[in-house]
Amino acid sequence: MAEYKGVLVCGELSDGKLAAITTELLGCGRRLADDLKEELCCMLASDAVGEAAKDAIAFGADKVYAVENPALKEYVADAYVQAADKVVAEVSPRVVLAGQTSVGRDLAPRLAFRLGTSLSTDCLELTVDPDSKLLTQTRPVYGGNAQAIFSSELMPQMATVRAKAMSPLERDGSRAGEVVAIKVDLDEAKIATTVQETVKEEAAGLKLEDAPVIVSGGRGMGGPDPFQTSLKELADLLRGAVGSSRPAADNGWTPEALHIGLTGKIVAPDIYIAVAISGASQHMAGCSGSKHIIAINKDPDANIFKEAEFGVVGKYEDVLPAFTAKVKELLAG
Amino acid sequence: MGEYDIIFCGRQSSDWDAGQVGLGVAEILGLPAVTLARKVEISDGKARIERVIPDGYEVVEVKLPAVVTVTSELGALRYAALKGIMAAAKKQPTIWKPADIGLEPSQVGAAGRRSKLDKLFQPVKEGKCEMVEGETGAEAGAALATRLREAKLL
Repeated sequence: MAEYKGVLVCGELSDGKLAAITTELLGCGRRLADDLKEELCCMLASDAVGEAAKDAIAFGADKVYAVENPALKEYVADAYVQAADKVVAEVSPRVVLAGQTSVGRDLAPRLAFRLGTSLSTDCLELTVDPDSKLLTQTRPVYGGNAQAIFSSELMPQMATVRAKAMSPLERDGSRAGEVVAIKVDLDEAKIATTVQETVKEEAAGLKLEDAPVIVSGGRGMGGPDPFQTSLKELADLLRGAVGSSRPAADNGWTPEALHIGLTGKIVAPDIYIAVAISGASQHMAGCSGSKHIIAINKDPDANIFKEAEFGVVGKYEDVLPAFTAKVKELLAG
Repeated sequence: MGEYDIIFCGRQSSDWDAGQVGLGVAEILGLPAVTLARKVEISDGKARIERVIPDGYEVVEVKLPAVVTVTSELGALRYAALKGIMAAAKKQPTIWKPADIGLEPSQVGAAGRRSKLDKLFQPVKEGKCEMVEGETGAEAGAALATRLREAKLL
């Protein structure tokens, strides 16, 4: 039997640069590798990996496997699974980590089944059991109402990690590491999917995931208008972005790209202001990583008040304009 | 067990939320898979699929047969008409037990699990929300802003 050693991060590039999730995975992977006293490797696949490989080292990798192939320019499952499968065969890692992202949630289950191992998706916490050296995988279940801890004896140990659940290391350009170019011959006959076009629908301005402040509205907003007026006014004032809960997006009041929750965006801003949002666990799954949650809701028993740090019970039509006016006054003074 | 052009699956279950079934089926059957579809059109042995990505969607073309997992954006459920409900009552669903599809007891249920559930728990909520009050909603709103300034959040 092959020996399984080290931690392999399946990295992602975004516009040619190391994606934020990859820096988080490297932060988590570094800790696991140190606990195991083994190496941290990172796989990067694209048509040209370039400087991102050095970045991966600066964020914690000991070794970067750069897979360059024109077919890997953008994410295509059939090509990426082949590439990842070959890198895993070469590295024989004990642990394989990917992001719980558009790419990772598509790639990781296929790779796990191909390798005949198990996978825990959307993990919030990963540790190594000091005795068995197996990965202890904590992940939310039942729409975030509960958490489960899994382990598996199959190798490699695979997990995908939720965005913003892990902290990246400080970038250190002086870190030493090695970049290994791996040539992977892709079987073109097995690539049955092609991406014809990519359409961006995101509202102009600040990306929700990058906003330090998010002002979010729910079903209680009653219609699309407040998202353009009162919520936007407050968000602009705080240099933040507007988000919504799933009912608001399902009703067509906001574009799906603004939907925060289990099946939407997962955000972790400094300040999250939830207006007329009841705080169902599916919504909280998307924002519970926020540093400070502030809630305005007319129902004193709304779940959001169990999650918030500051709250006001009242109709948003009464509370919000006065709140915004006072914020404006305080920021001006 | 039968012929198929497309196998549709949901994106994830509402209990374990793993999101692995569709992709596992694809891998076992050696089929391509497209996840998070919000629109599917078929022509000439191919499916043209709008796949949801974080900042919009991509149009993916896949050769059939294929596995497609769908998102809630695919559309709302139709209401069942009375005629349909009556017709459904007369139909008998086919129910297969593991043995009917050639599986051994060791391959299903807890015995067939690839990973072990060590613990299931509800995270403790701290529930330390500070309620800001006022005579009216407007007063409470203004008081909230003042309180946030005190707490250096503004």
